[in-house]
Order: sequence, then C-alpha cells, then structure tokens
Amino acid sequence: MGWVFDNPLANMYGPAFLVLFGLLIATVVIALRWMVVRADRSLELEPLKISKEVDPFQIAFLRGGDSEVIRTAVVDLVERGEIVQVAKESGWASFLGAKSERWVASGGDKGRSRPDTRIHQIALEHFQIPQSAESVFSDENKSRIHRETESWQQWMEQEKLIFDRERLARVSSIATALSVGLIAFGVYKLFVAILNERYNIGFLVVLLAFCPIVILLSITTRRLSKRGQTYLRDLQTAYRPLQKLRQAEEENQSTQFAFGDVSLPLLAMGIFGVQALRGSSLNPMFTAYQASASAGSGCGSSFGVSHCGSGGGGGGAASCGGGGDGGGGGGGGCGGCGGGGCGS
Amino acid sequence: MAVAVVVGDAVDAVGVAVEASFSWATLPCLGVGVGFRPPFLHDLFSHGASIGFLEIVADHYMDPLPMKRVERELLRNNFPLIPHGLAMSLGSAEGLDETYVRQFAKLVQELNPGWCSDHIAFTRAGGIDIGHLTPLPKTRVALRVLRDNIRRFQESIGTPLILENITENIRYPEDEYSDADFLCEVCMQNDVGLLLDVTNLYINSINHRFCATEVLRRLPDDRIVQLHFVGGHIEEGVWIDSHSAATQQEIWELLEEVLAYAKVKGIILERDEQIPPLVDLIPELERASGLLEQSTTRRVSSLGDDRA
Repeated sequence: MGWVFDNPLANMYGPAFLVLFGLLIATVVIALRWMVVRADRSLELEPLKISKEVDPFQIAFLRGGDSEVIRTAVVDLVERGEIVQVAKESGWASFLGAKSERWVASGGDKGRSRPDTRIHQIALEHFQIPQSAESVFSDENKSRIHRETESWQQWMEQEKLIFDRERLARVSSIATALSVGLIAFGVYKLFVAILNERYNIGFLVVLLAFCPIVILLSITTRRLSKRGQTYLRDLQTAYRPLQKLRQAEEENQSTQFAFGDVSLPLLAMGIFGVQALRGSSLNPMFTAYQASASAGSGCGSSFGVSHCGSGGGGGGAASCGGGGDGGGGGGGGCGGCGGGGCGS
Repeated sequence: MAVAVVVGDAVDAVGVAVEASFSWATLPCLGVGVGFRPPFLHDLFSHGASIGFLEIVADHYMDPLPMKRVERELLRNNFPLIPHGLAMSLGSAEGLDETYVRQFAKLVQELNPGWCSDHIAFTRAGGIDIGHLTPLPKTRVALRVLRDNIRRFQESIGTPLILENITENIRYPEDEYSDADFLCEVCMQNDVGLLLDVTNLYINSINHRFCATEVLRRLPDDRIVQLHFVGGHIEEGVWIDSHSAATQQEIWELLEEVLAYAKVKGIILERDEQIPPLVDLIPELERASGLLEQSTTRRVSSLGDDRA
C-alpha cells in the first residue's frame, strides 16, 4: 500500500501540483460551459413570431416562471377591483398592526367582463382574509399555480424557448461528479502534504474552495434559451411604450394596444413586470412587489431540475431565484489568500 | 405576357452586351405590405395578418444605434423585409459612395431579402448631398453612368436589385428618351427589375401630360417586380407626391391596370406625412390585396384556358 503515498503525484513538487490542479479545474470548467452552450439548440430554429393574440400570463411565465404568473394575476385582480387595499388603521391598531400594506378580496369587480381563470381563483382565494401582497408566494400557492403552468412549461420546452430540464439535469449531474472528483483529487494531495508535515497548503485550500464555486458558475445559465431571450426581447421592443405604463395611460394608448379582453396594465405587467407599474394608477402594486420582484423575477441561475425564483422570498426547495447570485458573490471572496507553495 | 422569363442578352446603347441569367419569375411572392415607419411598430402585431411584408428604409438601419438594431431584429423575426435605399445616388456621374455601398451590402447580407431597391435618380453631386431624389436627364450618357454605378453596386450585393421611377418636377431639354423608353433601357441594359411607383407614374403623367397606360404598356412586364402606391395632393394645379393622403381613385385604377399587365411580387403602401394609425390603412391594404388576388386568379384561369 506504500504506493498510495509514494507515487509521482504524491511526490509532485507543490507549485507544479497547483498548476496541474488549476489546469484540471480550468479544463473541467471549459468543458462544462461548452456542454451548457451546446445544450441550447434553440438557434437552429427560426425566431418565434409574435402572435396576434398575446397572453400576458404566458409571457409572465416565460419571463419569470410561476411567481410572475401569480404576481400578474394579483395585479390584474387589483386593476379589476376584485382585490383592494385594506384601509390604513390609525392609533394603537396601526402601531400594533403589520407594517406592510394589506390586501383583501372585495367580493366584487369594477364591472369588467373578463373571465376568471384558475390562476385568478387561486390568487383570489388567498386574499379572502387581509394579507400582505407578498404572502401570496406561499409554497402551497406556488405548487397550485405550477399545476396550471405545467402545460406552458412543456410548450416552451418544445419550442425551445427555455432550457430543456432533462438536458440541464444531465449537465448538472456530470458537473457534480466532476466537482466531487476534483475535490477528492485535491484533498488527497492535501492529506499527503499534512502526512509529510508540510503545512504551506494555503493555495491548495483556496483552490479547493474555489473549485466547486467556479464549477457551479460554469453551469449557471439563464432559464431562457437564446430563442426565448429573442422572443421576449422582441415582445418588449414591440410594446416598448408600455414599459412606462403611467406615460401610456396619460397618452391614452389603451385603444392602440387593445387586444380583446386584455387591459393595458395587464399587458404591461405581463410583458415588463412590476417595474412597468411605477407611477401608474397601479403604483401601490409596484410598491408592494418591488422588492420581491427584484429579488426573484430575474430568474437568473437555473440548472438541473430547479425552476424559476420565488418572488416573495418564500424559497421553496424547487426555487433558485436569487440563490445563484449569492453563490457568485461567495466566489469573489477567494481573492486574497496567499502563503507558500503546497507541500510535496 | 411573360410569366417565367429568362432574360436574354441585350445590347445597350453603346454596344456592350449585357448578360443576364437570372429569372425574375423565381422571386418570392410577398403580397401586400407597408413601408415601415416607427409609429406603426406596435400596431403591426395586432394586424399582422393584413401585412405580407415590410419595406424598410435601408438608410435607417445601416450601422444603427442599439435600439434601432433591436427594432430591425424584431421586424426581421416577424416579417419578410425588403430594404429600400434612399441615398445610393445611382445616377451620380462621380460614382458611388463606397462607405454607403459597403453598409448597404452589409445590411442586405444580414437581412437576406428577396430583393432590394433604390431609385433611378441622383442625390449627390460634386460631393454634396442634395437630400432629395433628383431626376436624371434621359440621355445615353445618363444611362452609361447608371450602368457603371449599378454594376459597381451589384458587385457588392448578391441580391436582385430593383429600381424605382421617381416623380419629376422638371424635364431636361436634352432628354433623348421618352419615359417608357428610358425605363426600358435601364432594365434591359442592366440586370435590374422595376419598382414601379404607380403614384409617381400617375403624377408624372398628369403633370407632364402623357398617357400613363401607354407608358405602362411599353414597359417590360417581366421586370415589374414591386409596386408602390399612396395618395398625393394637388397644389396650384400640380400634383405633389406628398405621401400624405389616402390613395385617390385614379391611382387605384392605374394600379389595377398594372396588376393586369404584370405579375408583380409585392405591393407596398407608403405613407410619410400625416401618418395615421396603422389600423386606418388596413382598408387600403385589403383593397390592394383583393386586387392582387383577382389579378392572380385571372392569370391562372387564362393560363388554364390557353392550355384547354
């Protein structure tokens, strides 16, 4: 068994091993990145044309997954008057009450005749008692909404607007295996160094910490494929004036953008998200969802089987909204480590 | 009437054989569309069914700002696009602006259109940009200048080129050709098609007192690839090509004649002044579509009769 601790690798001079280890990490990162890029076959297809009838909920799902669908439904219900803001309490009640604004189902609407969808019903049921706007992103609501959006997910995968979950799961498994292998390789050298009473192992420790982070970053990709990004960008360009709903309302562009039962705020919300509501007649919704939208709707890192980020910060097991960003931040902290070469 | 024609060798006025091997009949049939103007952007997608293709002003999308580039991509992803140049100045004796040619060629390469177009005119002289489409004298020298410039341009693009007749506020005393003969010569001496602006033909015929139908009948029908139409207005007894009004009945009638005469591949409704919402242009687009469909049906049935 002596060869385990007495072989060319175990005896390799520290800096040489560091170079080898670094090269291995770089090779794995490049290979994984290549696999992720290759996983996006969407550019082989023609760009998806914008259909004559735009479904704001479907676009919201494309943009930010289930959370954006819930958010869009709530905004639509508020715009229809079916969910209203609870009047602010005064005196002691205000002092003891919840800090955030609360919303409740009004039991009526402004008279619009749009049919309720199951998604609307889920949101409406949630606000049967006064609740904060963000509370709608409960795991229970999300899983109910997910049942409604599953067909969109499948359609978007078929159309290659979003990454294929299975393909990404495969890349994720390979990445995990390679990551474990690399760490085991480094730990072995670390163990040999300590066994030989060499303690100048700072750089190796840094590389070991660095390794899973860069591997994670290398397989991090946007939820949308290139085709999906192009489609969303096309939609946002086509309806650019709605990016600032307030301005569109002032210019009374409702007739210009009329699409059957789809109202101007609903279209703006679906295509641009809650940011479009700033300063508009639905500004309270912007205020209520501003923080959660910026935390979750970016939907940045999604790989493996995970879905898009949770808007309300509920953070269910399936969510990875802002998580990827956090990981990235951690990676940045590895810079200042120094010390001598690793013991051989 | 030629439906599928392979253009033979023609001999130009100075005796140079122009070889042509391209069949204009193979160009795609794009239907009826509008000259894209930014106010139409948002309406395009709710009325997409009425619009077969878009003609974009090439000059606006050559080396564009990021926002314009995104807009171009949006249009390209959703409609067949035809780039229409304004400032190539094919009639300039000093030759072409190489930078412009390069940028135009790059745009054509990126869009991969069925064809591209410009004008039988000059917009630059003595290095100065006139900023206006100016008519050429209808002379052999002008034809030679055009031929040289068209060849230079065609060396840079691999896409069929069609040229538009413009309105002429002036006539040159040294004109050697009639309107019809000049347009014929431009087509036959060069491997180019005709973008027949029906409104321009009508306006010239009224302002310069000739018969538009007679001119039409002398044009090579197989080279009339695309049409432009729009309404103008009359100012002090003179028709102005202002692109500012709904198409007048006289122009509709001429358009119908053109469609009966030539198998066109696309028709574009232009509008540059007093631009209404796109929805207000839909009736004109649908009327043009109807006329195009009728002419195609008539052509198919007459072909069937011939065979019978």
